Amino acid sequence: MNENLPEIIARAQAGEEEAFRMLVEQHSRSVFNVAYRIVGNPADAEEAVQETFLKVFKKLDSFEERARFTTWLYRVAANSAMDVARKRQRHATREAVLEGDDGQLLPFPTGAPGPEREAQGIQVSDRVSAALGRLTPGERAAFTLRHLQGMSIKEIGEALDMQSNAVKNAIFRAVQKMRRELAPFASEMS
Amino acid sequence: MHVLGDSHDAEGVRTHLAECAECRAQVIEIERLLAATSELEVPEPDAGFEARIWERQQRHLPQTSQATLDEPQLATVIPFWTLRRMAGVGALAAMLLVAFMVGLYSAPPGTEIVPEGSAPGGGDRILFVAVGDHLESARMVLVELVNAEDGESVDISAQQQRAQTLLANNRLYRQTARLHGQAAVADVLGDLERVLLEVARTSGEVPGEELDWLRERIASGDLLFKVSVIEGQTRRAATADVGGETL
Repeated sequence: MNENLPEIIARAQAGEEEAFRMLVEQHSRSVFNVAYRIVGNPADAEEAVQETFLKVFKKLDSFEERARFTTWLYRVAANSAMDVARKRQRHATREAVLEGDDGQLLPFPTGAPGPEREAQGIQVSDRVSAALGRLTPGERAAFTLRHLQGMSIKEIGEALDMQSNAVKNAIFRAVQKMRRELAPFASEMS
Repeated sequence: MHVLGDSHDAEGVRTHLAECAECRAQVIEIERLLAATSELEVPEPDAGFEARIWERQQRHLPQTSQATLDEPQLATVIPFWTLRRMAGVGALAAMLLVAFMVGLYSAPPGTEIVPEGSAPGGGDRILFVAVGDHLESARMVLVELVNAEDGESVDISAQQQRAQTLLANNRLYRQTARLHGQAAVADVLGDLERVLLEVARTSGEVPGEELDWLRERIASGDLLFKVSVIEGQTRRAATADVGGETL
């Protein structure tokens, strides 16, 4: 199907609804994949997918043929996922303030090990998920895009509206935090 | 950053790693960490995922399309006065509405608002009446939908036909308001237009869930109330311009 992608994009840019539907249906799972790694739960990832395609529709005219569509799409997806993650974080922080919490929030909703699971011996992937969950949305997005999507620092900066140095710092902090979190389980990762 | 391929001096780092066991151990640790992260599983969305995403996208397409195409095209391609000549009386009424709304949003509370330059003319009054009539007709469509009897399938063909005829003028008023920086008015007319568009696109006989969805759209953002407020102010402007004489 991908060999027709330029044609589908051109038709969508010309305003053909059917072509836009094809773009949505062909790419929504991969966008979900990117979004999930940033927001950490299926419901928020699906919301980010919706936001992504709304933005794609609005910005499709600005997409240039020579650029790679999926790279452009994942930038929009990362940005949307960041927005969703920040919104969730603000909401969680407000709730924490109301409940007298200390504001240390943003749990990654999947895989975060509770005491019972800890006692039962959880999987390494759960620990990695939990460590990812303790990153800020910016750190998580920058790390995900660099490591898992293979984007360049410049592309990540454009996607997340950050300076290159800020992107590097975010990735550096992400790796350092995860190393600290996962240090006790280092032997299990070998 | 070296492990992620972003080192400024990759060769220098490699040379150092060959000599420093401590740093080499750290790199191995980070590589393992990255490998573990790569292996994280992402849950597979259910079978109806794509269809669900598309269905929701479709609901937004008309409004997105208008936002994308209408304002830039009108602002940059068609000069306003050309537009006005093309649109005739409808556009003039829209201009007056916008002028009126400038007063509405900037006057102190309790001030009776009559737009500057529009007070004396009987023609202006007629145009205010035209805008008021448009808003009233649109409001009635909304009210009828809100109060329609529930059922598995509901006949809204009368509202659908009226929505179709109201759309063109509503779009014109919205575009004019937007072109003149009246974002608040344009937003209300935009919300109204989206609902009218959804109603106009129905087949006339809609399932109960679709009617519920339309009602939710109407209820969200107090659309009925906002339309009523603008309608009321327009009516008052139509009567105020001749010293309170009724039409």
